[in-house]
Amino acid sequence: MILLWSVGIPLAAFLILYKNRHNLDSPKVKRYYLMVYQGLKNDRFFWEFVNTIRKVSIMGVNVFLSRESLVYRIITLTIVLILFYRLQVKLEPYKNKENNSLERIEIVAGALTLYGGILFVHEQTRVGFLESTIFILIMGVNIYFIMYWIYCMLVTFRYTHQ
Amino acid sequence: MAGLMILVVIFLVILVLVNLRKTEESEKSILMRIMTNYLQVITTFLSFNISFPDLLSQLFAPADKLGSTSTPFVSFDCFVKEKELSLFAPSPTFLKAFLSGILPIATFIVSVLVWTIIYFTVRKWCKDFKRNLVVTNVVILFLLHPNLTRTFFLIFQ
Repeated sequence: MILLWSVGIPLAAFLILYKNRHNLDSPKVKRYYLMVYQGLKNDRFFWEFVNTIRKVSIMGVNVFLSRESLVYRIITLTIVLILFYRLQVKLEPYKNKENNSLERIEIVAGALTLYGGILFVHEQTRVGFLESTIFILIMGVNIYFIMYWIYCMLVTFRYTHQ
Repeated sequence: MAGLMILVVIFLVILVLVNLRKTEESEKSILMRIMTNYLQVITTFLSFNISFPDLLSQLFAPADKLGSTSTPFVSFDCFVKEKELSLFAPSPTFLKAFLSGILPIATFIVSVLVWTIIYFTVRKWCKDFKRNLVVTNVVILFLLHPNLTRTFFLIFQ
């Protein structure tokens, strides 16, 4: 049953959109499913499913490689996240450039947080100067993402009230 | 736990309302979706055994609460433990998986009930019953999906 939900939900949503891929602008499709593909270019309507695969693969690597060390899993996941980053750069799925930049920062923030996390796995890997540098880097990139997101949100408020 | 539930419900309601308000594309909704993805990814990292420094954990604390938006619904650990229901199931994990399995059906029934009540009380909030119901469930499933998948993977662990 749970397999049905975790595979079935995205698959069903993808199939509905795929079937209607030439009618994504029609009011009928927009009325119900806009949430899943809004903001995306019409030929990149599937991007949210790529994001779903990104989230699922993070969990998948963690579970299926659970016999390997945490450092090994983190490195594997960082490589996976870099691949998703490359895909995002290549496809530029959002119509709005700001959204593309925002999502890239989101992926980078995730990858850096995870990769930097290697340092905090074992006590012995914690080296004073390096630890502070990585710490500031992780904090910085995450705060940057949050600030950038708030900025984008404020811009949308300005537009709607003009 | 109750506070967290309220926080989760508020987040869910905002997401539903933002998506219901317009039939045209809304930048706010797109931004909310990107933020949800970020929160879900960060929450997954927090479930790894990385002992992030305190300051960093504090930065991620709201993410942990909101990102795992479905955790209070899916986290049946206490329930399973308290009621000692594990006696009736092959293992607690399986019981958890079973409960998670019926969760989307349960949330669907709740959403039908809520929209029916609104439909008969404040009609102007519910002009298009079918659309409200579909959009609400698309949002719920979007939020629930990572947690359902996590529970599914736990069976293999």
